[in-house]
Amino acid sequence: MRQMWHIFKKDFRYLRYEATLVWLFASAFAAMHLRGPHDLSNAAWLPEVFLFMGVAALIGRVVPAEAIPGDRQFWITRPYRWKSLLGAKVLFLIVFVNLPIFLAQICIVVIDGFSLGSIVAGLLWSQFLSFAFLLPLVAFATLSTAKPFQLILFGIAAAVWGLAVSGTAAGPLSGVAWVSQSIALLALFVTAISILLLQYKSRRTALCRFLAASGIVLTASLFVAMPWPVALAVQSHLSKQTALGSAIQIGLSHNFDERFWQPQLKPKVVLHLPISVQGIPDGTEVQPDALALSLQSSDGRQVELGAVNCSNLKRGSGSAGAATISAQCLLDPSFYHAQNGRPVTLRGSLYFTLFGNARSQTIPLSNEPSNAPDGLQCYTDTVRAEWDVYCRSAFRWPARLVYARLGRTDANSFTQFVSYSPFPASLNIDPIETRWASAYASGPPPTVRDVTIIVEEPLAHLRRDFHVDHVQLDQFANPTVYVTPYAPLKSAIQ
Amino acid sequence: MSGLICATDLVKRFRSVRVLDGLNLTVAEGSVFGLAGPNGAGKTTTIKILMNILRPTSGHAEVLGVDSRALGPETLANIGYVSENQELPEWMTVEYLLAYLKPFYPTWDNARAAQLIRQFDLPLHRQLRHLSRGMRMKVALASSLAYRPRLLIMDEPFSGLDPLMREDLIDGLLESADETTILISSHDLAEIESFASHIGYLDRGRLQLSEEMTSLTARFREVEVIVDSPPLVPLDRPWPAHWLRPETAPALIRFVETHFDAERTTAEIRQLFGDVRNISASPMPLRAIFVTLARNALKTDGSQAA
Repeated sequence: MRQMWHIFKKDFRYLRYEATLVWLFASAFAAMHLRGPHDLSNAAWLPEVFLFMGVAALIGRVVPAEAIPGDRQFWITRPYRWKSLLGAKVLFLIVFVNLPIFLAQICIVVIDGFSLGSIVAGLLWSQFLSFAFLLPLVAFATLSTAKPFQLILFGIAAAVWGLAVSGTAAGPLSGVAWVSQSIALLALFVTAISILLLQYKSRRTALCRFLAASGIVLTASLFVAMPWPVALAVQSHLSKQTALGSAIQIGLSHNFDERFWQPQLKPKVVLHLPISVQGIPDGTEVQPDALALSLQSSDGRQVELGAVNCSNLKRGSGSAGAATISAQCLLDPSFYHAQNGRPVTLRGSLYFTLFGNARSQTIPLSNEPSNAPDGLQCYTDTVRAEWDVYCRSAFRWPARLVYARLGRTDANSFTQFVSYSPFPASLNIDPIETRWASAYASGPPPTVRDVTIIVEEPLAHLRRDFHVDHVQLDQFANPTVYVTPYAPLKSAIQ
Repeated sequence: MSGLICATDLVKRFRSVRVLDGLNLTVAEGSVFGLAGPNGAGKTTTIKILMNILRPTSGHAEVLGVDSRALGPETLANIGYVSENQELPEWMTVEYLLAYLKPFYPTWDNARAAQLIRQFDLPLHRQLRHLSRGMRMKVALASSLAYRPRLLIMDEPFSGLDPLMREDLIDGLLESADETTILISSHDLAEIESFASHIGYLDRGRLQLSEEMTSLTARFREVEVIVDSPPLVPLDRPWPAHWLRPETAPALIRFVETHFDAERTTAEIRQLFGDVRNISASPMPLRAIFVTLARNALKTDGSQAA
């Protein structure tokens, strides 16, 4: 312990300017949030980027101060205890990386009016995530002292950080993206721990380089290529009330609520499939997560359309106990043309989430944030767009469907996806996540100055298989849009 | 005297290159052991294995009674290490380096450190990056002697230093020699000769010779024999194995006697050459001894290859 402290003090003396700079960046990052909720230019990214670069530079300097690779370093023939050395580096990381970020986050959430008690879990989990992300940087920094290697390393780190943070953006299966992210981060964390122990205890650089390469490949594979049914199965396993959807039945409707298309890089036939969902329990609503289809022709030819092919799912209108989900699936043109006019058999699996237990709170529609359910704070910008409602939450957007409703108009959803992650924070330096929705849906502008925020919690993550015979594909592919890359858009009605 | 360093059958390969080829080495406690040998002989590799910087491919080495592969902080606290290639923390001042290292060594002696600072005239407030090579070696040596180590291992410490610096370093070493066993590698034999008590000659990964300096210098003599007439014995006749590098001229025979004993050597000469006018036996400097050994080894290898 004494030796650890001694090495730590030496490292601080060595890197006092860089360490101070990280603290300054963290302070600047916190200070950017003092400008108030209405400054949406979000220039806080600048100190955030500087903070990231400062942290990377700090790690790139503190680890090679007692470099592991090589045979000329003075310290390897001195009576260093490996646990003390490793402990000193970790302590340095905590004091000069985690602590400033931790304090900056506390400042931001407290200034924003979140109560400390309500965010403590998110705050701590956020620290753990940051630490778990930074530890691999420390581990990989032990593998070489060459500057190009360090630069490549931090390029990879920035990319991983970007990927992890982009997990909060909307995308296919983004509700369960946390599963692959968590497993990938765990793999990276275990790899880092193994490398650190091996390097500091035995200085086995060659073995550790192999381990690092394997760990990176494994992490990338888990992150990119984890089968989505596995992620959905994990999510389903975590459901609390799976019996809730026992009466739900899925079928194919012929009522086209909405047709939509989006450009594709490869020529594809776009199928617009209205999926009907019947037997939805009272007080709940269905949110689609994924759809997988299998089409089989009468001559036995079969094509599979996975969740990636059917990534565009929209919940349409519905009546009591029923809803329609508009799905857009991309089909190989050769199959479509071969089966055009012939009946095919459609087998599908719909993965969806039942939301319910709605709670609502009416708050004044003002520029000042007001507390809303589930730790949200909501406000508007009367100068910019008086019907737009902004809600913010600390450390992550709650795993809830959130709506804003003005007077007696329809409620509008905060459009971005909902992550079903059970963890209280996501991997991000910025502790505040803000989303917006229009509170005013249709009809004459209301005169009320209150907005009602409605939240529904996920009750069950379910999968229902369905089977439809004698499907005529041309009924669902009308109009079919071919889009080829770099060519003028062409619409062809078949 | 017991061995503070014992290496047995050490082998080290770097890919296909066999740098150490069954090295056996013992360094007795209290000795100043000079490890000599040409460049590439394996001196630095040997030392790095002893210090657990490298792992041997096979074989075994013990330092202060501990397996070299298991050298831990407790053992290292009793070992000083100075190397020409060592990378010191250049941002530190001399004063901070010494202050930083002090808590690592329970036996650190402030008075000894102060004495070394004075003796080596170390600029305490200057960063190591601003010191000359010789001054850095002095700092490294001072930081390795201040805790009075039982064993001091030095790898080519005099390489590239001017004579004054060498003299200062040697003086510093000699003052510690009574309490510290020293293993010092060098290809500068003249320096080793001046203070080593034992000498080992390493060549092609093997220790070709290892013995006390006094014994070595006593048994090696360059012998010149002046004869009146051509020798009775043809010169192509096999010579005694302990006579190396024989050379002849019409009235002169010259060779290196590797087991010199005045009476026995004289008797052997007279037995081979009959009456001779004069026999002179001159002591050899270490450099000449090792040149003789190296050339003989090359010749032996050549004849074996043939």
